[in-house]
Amino acid sequence: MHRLPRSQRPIEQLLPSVLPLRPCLRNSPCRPSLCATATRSNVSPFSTSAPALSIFSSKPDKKKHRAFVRRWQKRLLGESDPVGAHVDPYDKTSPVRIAPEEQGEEEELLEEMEGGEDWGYTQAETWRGLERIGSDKWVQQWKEWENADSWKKWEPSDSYAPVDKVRDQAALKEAFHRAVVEVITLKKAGAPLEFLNDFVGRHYDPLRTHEVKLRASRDGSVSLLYPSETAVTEFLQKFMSEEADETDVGDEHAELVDELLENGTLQDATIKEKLKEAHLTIAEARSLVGVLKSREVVAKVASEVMAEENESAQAAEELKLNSIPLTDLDLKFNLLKRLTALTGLRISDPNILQIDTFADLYHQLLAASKPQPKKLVEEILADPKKAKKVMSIPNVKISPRRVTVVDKEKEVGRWKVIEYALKERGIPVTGRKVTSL
Amino acid sequence: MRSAIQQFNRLSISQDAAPRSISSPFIRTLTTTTSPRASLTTTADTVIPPPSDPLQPIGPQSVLATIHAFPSLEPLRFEQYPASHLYLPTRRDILHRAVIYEGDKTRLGTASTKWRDEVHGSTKKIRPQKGTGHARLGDKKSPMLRGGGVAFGPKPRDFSTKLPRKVYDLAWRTALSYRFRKGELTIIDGAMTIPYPSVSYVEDMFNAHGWGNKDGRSLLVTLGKKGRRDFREVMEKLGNFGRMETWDEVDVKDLLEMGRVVIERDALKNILLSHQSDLTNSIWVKGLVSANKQEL
Repeated sequence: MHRLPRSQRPIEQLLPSVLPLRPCLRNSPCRPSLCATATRSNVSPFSTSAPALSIFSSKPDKKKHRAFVRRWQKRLLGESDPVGAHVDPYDKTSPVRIAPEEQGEEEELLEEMEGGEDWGYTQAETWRGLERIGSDKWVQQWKEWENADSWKKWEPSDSYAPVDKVRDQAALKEAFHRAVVEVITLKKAGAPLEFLNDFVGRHYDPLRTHEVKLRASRDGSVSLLYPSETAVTEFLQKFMSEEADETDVGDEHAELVDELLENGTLQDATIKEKLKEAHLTIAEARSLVGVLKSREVVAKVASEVMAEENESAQAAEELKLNSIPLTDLDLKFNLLKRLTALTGLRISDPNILQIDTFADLYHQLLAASKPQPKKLVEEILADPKKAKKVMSIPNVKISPRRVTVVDKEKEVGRWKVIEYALKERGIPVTGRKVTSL
Repeated sequence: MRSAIQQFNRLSISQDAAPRSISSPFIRTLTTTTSPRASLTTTADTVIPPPSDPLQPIGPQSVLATIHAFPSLEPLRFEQYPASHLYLPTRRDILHRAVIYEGDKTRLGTASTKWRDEVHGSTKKIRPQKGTGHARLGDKKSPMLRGGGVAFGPKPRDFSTKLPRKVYDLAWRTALSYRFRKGELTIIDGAMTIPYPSVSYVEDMFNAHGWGNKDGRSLLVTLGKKGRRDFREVMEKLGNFGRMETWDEVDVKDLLEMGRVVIERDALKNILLSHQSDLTNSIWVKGLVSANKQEL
């Protein structure tokens, strides 16, 4: 077997030459680091070769050795210079080790360049206009801040259901009563239920619904017993006048609206033209007509209906929720909608399917008011029957949290001993302060 | 045999001889006699009172779903959906098959290694067969050598499995029904759009509706991308609040993944229309709502 001797020098030095030095800009901020790395990386701090030719140490024949080295050098590098002709990288005077700032020639060149050309560089005094570097989150925050005036913020009133939900049972009962009275009143008066949208606030009850009593009619519907015969009419008229003030039709559009009311359609070409002249969109015109129409209807019907209603209600029995079916989909929908606006609670679609009577609706509302249990133990304890059933199983225990080692030690009465021993040795007693299960 | 017949006759005679209760309400015969007792309908004196709670063996044929406005979530109206669309029983097995099918289908299967003849290099024998004292070796691409080929490595392949179309379509509707039954399907009228690409606006909106991170995130399904660019952009930033996809981007797994599904009415319609092969005979899907024609 033939054995190759190792090269004496570090492998890097076998390369034709070290990397050429980069010309460095004098005022460039990157300069020191670049130059430093360029020079330093070329000097290998160690060599894998032995400090001396250990395999030849037994042979002091220098001539033979030199010939051998040269032969190999020739083979590897393709040059016949003797080894000594190369620069020793470990020598302090080696050009590899000379720092670029000490290499006068290059620096002089750079000075000439700098002095000769106008760089057009001015230092920024404020940060405005400079490129910003930051995370996406920061950029988004900046964007929001920049557009704070023009971008609308989410208001609690943007949500149809109030954010603070009613959980109190008495308040829920009140809200249920109010919703039933309001929806049935408006339905019987023939007024559009959109009226309700404007007095969504829980504390503002212009109809004084708490004074109205609910009665069950013989035909299986709900009747309302108002405190006075004129109470509702007054309310509706007052409400309508408020409405009229808010959506003032104005004299300029009066004729147009009359015409619209007569025609009843907005798709006619001539009417479209007139709308254009009056600078009204179709949607605006439609709402205008809707308001006027509903106002007419209410004015006509309300007083008559309410008088009849009160008469029949007085004759009717006390309301028993269980007995009254809630099959009218329109009524059901509007009740649910009103309840959502009053309480902030939503009854989900599958639960709405289960509602057949007023009582069902009330019970679903109560169920929706209870916050959803987040832990299994909460769910078990919420239902006493279920809790009793689980508790009665001999080998089952319920814990509101994870059973830890400390809990297990406490159970067998060993914890006191452990605690004492820990304190005795001055070791802190870790674990939860309150560890009662 | 004869004795058996005789016994039988005797038995029938004795049965006839027994007095029949006239008041029995369930006497019906199929003979075409003029007697009122023989008619198929029960007579007046034997009226069966209707049960107070009539049993429905099949369940409701259609269900009501509330359509909401966006972003206020104001309930706008009820809409009826067939029970075969939104009120199917929860079949975990079908959902599982669909999710596995989708998972297999989406596997890229691009893992690849080189066999010895695909490795670049010479096929020259690296050392003589005999005489070196070392093992016999062929070329240096042998799987036994470092840098050689891989013997039984992965090659690109198709991992997809099969699932009957009808089962998959049933799974789609089962997933939606599951959401509906849990009250986690919110149907939106029109398009879900926001006025500005404001993250804080969407964040506040999600918190107000209970859709956000602490409520289990939400999947928003839209009809198309048109007009929702801002919202999509914001949702990409608010990944911990949920995700927004178009109806043809979502799959069964997505529908089951998050806390709830908020879906545009037209998107729901398209999903239901294109996943009912087990209900209809036609393989053509008709009546899909085009995203380009939607009013925003």
